[in-house]
Parts: sequence; C-alpha cells; structure tokens
Amino acid sequence: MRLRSQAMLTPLVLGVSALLVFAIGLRLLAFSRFDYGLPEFWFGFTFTMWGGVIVTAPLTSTLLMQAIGLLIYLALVAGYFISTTVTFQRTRWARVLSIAVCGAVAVAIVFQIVRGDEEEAFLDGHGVWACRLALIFVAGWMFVEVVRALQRLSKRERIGLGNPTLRFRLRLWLVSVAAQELVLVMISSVRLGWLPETALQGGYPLLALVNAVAMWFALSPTRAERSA
Amino acid sequence: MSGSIFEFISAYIEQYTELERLQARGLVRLALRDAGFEPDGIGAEHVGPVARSTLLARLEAGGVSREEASQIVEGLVENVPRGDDTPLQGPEAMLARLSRLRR
Repeated sequence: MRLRSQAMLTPLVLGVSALLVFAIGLRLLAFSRFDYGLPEFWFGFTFTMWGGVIVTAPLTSTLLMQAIGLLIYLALVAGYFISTTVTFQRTRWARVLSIAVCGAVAVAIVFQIVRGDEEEAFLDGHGVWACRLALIFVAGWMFVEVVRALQRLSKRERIGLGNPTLRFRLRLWLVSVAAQELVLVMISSVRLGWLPETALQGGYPLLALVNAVAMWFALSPTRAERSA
Repeated sequence: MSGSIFEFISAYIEQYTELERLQARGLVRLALRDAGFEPDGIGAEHVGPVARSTLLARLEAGGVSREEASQIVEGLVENVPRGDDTPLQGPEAMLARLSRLRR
C-alpha cells in the first residue's frame, strides 16, 4: 500500500505543478491583454505550453503523439527564446542567437524524422537533445539575467531607489528559474546514464513544484497591492 | 524617451565641464552603471538620486571641484525634462508592470 501511494505521489505532484504552471500561463496571457509585444504574453504562452505538455505527457505514447510532442517541444523552445529576447531587451546578437538556436533545433528534428528513428525518438533523438540543450541554455541565460537584475536593484537601493516588493519577487523568480534549470539538467543526466532513473522519482516532481509555487507567488499581488 | 534622458545628461555635462563629447558620455555611462541603470533605462524621476550620488562622485573623480560639481548636478536636476514613464527594463519591468495592471 505504501509503495503504491509513493508511486502515485510523483504523477500527483507533477500534475499539480503542471496545472499551476498552466494557470500561471493563462493569468499572464490575461494580464498581457494579448499584446504580442509584451513579455507577459510570451511568458504566458510558454507556461501554458509547458503545463499542457506535462499534463498531456502520459498520452504521448503512440508515434503520432510523439511527433506532436516533438512539435510542441520545438514551439516551446521558440516561445522561450522569444520571451527571453522580448523580456531581456538585448541588442541584435540576442535575436540572431535565438533564431540560430531555434533553426538548429528545427533542423535536428527534421533530420530525426527523415532518418525515421521512431523507436527512441521521443526520449533520445537528435531533435529532443537539441531541444533539451536549448532549454538548458535559455534557463541558464534567464538565471544570469535575473541575477543581474537583482544586482541592479541592490545598486539602486544604495542611492535610495530601492523597491523591496520588486526585490522579493525577483528572488522568487530566481528560485523558479533555478528549479527549471535543475529539472532540465536532471532529466538530461538520467537519459545520459549519469543519474539513476530513481532520481526522477523524487527530484523532478519536487523541483517542478518549487518552480511552479515560486512563480505563482512572484506573480501574485502583495497585501498592499490588494488593499490599494 | 528614456534614451533621450541619457542624451540630455551627457549634453549637459559636456556643456558645463571641459569634457569632450565622448568623455562626457563615458562618464555618464559609468555613473549610471554605478547606480544600477542602463543608458536607455533611466527615467526623469531617477535623475535626482543618481546625479547627487554616483554622477557627483564621478565628476569629482574626473577632476571637477566639489563646488562646481554640485552646481552642475543641481542645475541638471532642475532642468531635466519631465513627463515620461518609468522605463524599467529586464525582468523587473514585467513584474512592475503586472502590479500596475492590477490596479
């Protein structure tokens, strides 16, 4: 009975995390008022996709669903890159890099489909690995950008331009992005055989939940904002 | 609009010191970086605290006397063009905007 409840815990925690992420995505889409130029829209789009992918993952067992899963994965990477470049308004190099990585991922997926290695396509194909590496890179990039934003806020605090609420939210976002990165690294490590499969049983759902809860609170109004 | 605040500060520093254009712009860039701002991320409401702290220090380090630097800074704060929105950038921009959207 205990073993059975433990086995049920992982999908349960993952399901809750995915629904939370899905709800965050919908909230962000609503907040953006569907303005394509705002990062809220692209983050909302990305989170909605994330939540959707995890919730529908158990259904992706047939070849058709695997192909759809890969396309969703590709859209996810593209969405992530767009949200990163919109939010972290860097110069031209960020856009060029984003397009290059998305293009490389697309080529890898096409190569995989043409070669027809369906058997392990969903877990270990070139396209999936390209997506994984791209997502790891983007999560790392976001982590660095949030750290830089926190550093900027620290400097502003020193001259009397501090914003404790913003700082608190950025810290939560940092926790969320770190959890995302660890999830991606953990999955890749298990697929490479560097970590045992059992690592996914506890670590993956826990980090997914940390990611979702931290992001939920980072995007929730404070008590002062509610009463204003 | 926010980029023009940087242009305004640079032009003002260039006009009231002996620094050349590139030197003035470089000094302002360094002062903004010390205060946690990018050149296109500073708004009119930030100019006062930034000018009286990091810009003042950078002017003094650049050889301008304390009195003269203080006068330049106060003149800059008085003359800065007002009326643009807070041009936050990066992740903090989205979080700040979300709290405004809810109101």
